[in-house]
Amino acid sequence: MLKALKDFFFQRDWAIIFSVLIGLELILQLGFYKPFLKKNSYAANINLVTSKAIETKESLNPNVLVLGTSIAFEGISLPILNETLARKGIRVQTLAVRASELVVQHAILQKYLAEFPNVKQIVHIMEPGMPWVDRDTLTDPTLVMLSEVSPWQSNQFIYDFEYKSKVTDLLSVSLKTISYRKDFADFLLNTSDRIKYLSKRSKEEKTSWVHDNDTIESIEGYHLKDLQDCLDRLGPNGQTSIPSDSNPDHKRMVYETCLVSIGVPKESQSTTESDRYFRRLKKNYKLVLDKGIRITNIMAPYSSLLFIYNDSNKMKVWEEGLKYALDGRQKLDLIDLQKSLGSIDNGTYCYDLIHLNAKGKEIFTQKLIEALNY
Amino acid sequence: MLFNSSQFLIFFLFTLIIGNLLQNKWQRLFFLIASYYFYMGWEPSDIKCGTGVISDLYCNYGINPYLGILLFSTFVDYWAGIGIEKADLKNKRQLKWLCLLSSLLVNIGTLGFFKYTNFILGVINDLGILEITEFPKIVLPVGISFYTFQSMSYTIDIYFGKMSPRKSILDFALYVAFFPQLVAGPIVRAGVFFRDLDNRLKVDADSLRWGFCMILIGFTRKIVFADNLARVVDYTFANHALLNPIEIWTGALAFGWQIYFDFAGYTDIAIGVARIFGFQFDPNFNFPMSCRNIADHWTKWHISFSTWIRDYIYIPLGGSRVGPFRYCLNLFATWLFAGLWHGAAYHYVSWGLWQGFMLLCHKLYSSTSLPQFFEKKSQRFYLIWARIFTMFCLAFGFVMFRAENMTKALEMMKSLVFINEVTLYRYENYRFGILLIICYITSYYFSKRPIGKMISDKDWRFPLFVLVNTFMILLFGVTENQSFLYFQF
Repeated sequence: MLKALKDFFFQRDWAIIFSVLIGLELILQLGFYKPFLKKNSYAANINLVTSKAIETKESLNPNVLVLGTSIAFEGISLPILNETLARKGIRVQTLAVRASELVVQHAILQKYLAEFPNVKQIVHIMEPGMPWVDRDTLTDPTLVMLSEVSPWQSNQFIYDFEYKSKVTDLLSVSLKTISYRKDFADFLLNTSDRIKYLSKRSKEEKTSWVHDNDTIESIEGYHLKDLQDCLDRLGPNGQTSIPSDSNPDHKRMVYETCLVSIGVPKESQSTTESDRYFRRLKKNYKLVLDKGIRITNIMAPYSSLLFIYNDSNKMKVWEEGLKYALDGRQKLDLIDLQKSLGSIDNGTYCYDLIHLNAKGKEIFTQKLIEALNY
Repeated sequence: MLFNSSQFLIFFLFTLIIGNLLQNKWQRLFFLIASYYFYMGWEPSDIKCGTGVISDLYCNYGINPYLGILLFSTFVDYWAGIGIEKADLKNKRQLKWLCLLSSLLVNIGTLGFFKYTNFILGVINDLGILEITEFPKIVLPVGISFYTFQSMSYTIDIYFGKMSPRKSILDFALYVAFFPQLVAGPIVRAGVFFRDLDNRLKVDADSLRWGFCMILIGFTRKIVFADNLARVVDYTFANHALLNPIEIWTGALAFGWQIYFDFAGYTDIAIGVARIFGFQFDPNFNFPMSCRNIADHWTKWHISFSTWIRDYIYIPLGGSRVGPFRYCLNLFATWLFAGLWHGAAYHYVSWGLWQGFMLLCHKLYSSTSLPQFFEKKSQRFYLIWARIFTMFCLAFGFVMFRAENMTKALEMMKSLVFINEVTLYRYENYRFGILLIICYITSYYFSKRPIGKMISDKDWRFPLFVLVNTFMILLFGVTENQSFLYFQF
């Protein structure tokens, strides 16, 4: 039997099979596939943000960096911010990436912060209490983004950030063949769309900004009373008609964010999960503070339907947590803009429950400029 | 323990290497212990800790209490086999019959208790004999339908003098519990198993290659095809009221393909694993979804089960060599049993009777001159039409099989035949319709080209086969750990 196993595994066919697999992996590791990634996919998005920041670092020479996840990515207009603040000598660039958990933000800081030696301040847009901020299992977007930023260091980050990882997670971060598998599948299934996009992109004009949210849809037309009302009316069995400022895809997105939001932790006091979050944050902030950069924390706005979750007790926990993360190396510089878009009904500014639309972005950017008070 | 889990990979490699370092009875003992360990890896989902001895055994010591049922069935059937032979030698016919009866009662009784108690109580309730408000919560032990049938066929074969009982309880216990076939078949006949156990097939590089390819294609069928089709199936059966007949037909056809890929995938892996251990199980599926008629389908679908009910129910009842009325009775009794075997519910019974009805119709149709007439007119067109018609008839039955209850099945069947109010201009799951056409064409193509022959024909075919399957799993595989459908039976 052992001889049979030896004969089986030492046959020439395996050399062919492994050569093909290793060859493909090498091509992918060298980045040859990156230009072909699906538009707006997590991998394409993080590459776009980081490469744009690096590409414009000489010309823009930023002294303020924005860090964060979806609201920072969708809800802040860099053109408005830079135009308004230019006369005060403030130049802002963003490293915020949609759906990036702290571990991804850590990987980004680790790799790119040194590229911006003149940065004096980091504006960190926080999403307090949201269910994704303190996860302990790894999701596909996180794995894909970690794989893009630093495939070989990420296994250490996963360990440091106290994730419960599986062997497949670690392989998925390190091996591009696995990390890109869904993108490949999409390429095969939607070849014509992908080719069309590639040819269109090559003709696009280049701008200094990675993204400027131009979505016009809002949740206002749905007149949602609360999360349960959203689930009932916008779910698969709901009969709600689509208002003029929405469409079927948007309706589905709103429903999905309601579904996510219903899982927001209800506890007002600190929990194992929130403690873990602040331990993670401390690691991030150490990188920043070691470089003498100041951190400003902004509590981001989202739909008024979610206000019920963040009472004064929870905010106190967050304040304490942020102080812990800063480790006494800097005084807490916290600006609460949760209700900056209105405290009763801000539906007109929200694309869905946790993303702002173009209108929301403009208002939030203005409020942020005022609050930063340069 | 699921074949598609990382625990199984470790278990498999460990068992393969250690098992092959041992010989004779030590090897058999090791395989037996490994098989019981494999069985214990199944976690009864409904067990609540602190509710009794059974749950305490499981929660505190990790001992799966349902292993006891497997051991009990094994001991009874082993001694029943020995008893039948001894009674036969002493010409004691009553004792011989009693031994067989004890085996049948234990197996059918165990199966009946776990699988049919609630069904029988439900029927009593429905008939208004008793008013039962609360049904007992009974967890169906995984694989019970398979190993009890395997065990029963052993004692029945001994009773009818088709084989001698096994003297070694170790060998018999291994036959019942051998892990590749334990939880979802194939239902291996004792003769086949002991033939290979006594004269273990040579395991060389070629057989490893064949076994590996079977395992790989099994994973492709399960992870790529079955689990992707599960999406449209789950959606269709959950939202049938919102769908039109074309969409429901797509979901019903998809379920046929899903269950085929799921179950055939499992048995491919089981057969591949067994081959690596030196056992050659007979194929359990032979491309049954592209058959020209229902009789043909049942010679190619779940072969170990269909031959079991043929040999142990249909033929002992008289088979087809009886009058027309008795023939119908035999046919429907056999398929009623087949339906009940799959599950204790009206919709499974209806599915079984639908199979019987289709077979009867086919028999009647075949006895006319119509098939020859159509074949003479246009053989190619007739064969294509016959295959498509068969597949749609099967899909109609699959609605009964998959629906959670008969009310839902009837609702969906009404939609399928356009009885309900319909809107036909929409076809939202058309992508799956395309996938089904691809499945059909590839299935037809590969039914003419056995895998074993394909990979041994030319040098480049094995690497190509491995790479194609690897990329299919990588690109289209559903990685969330999904259980095999036939575990529930």
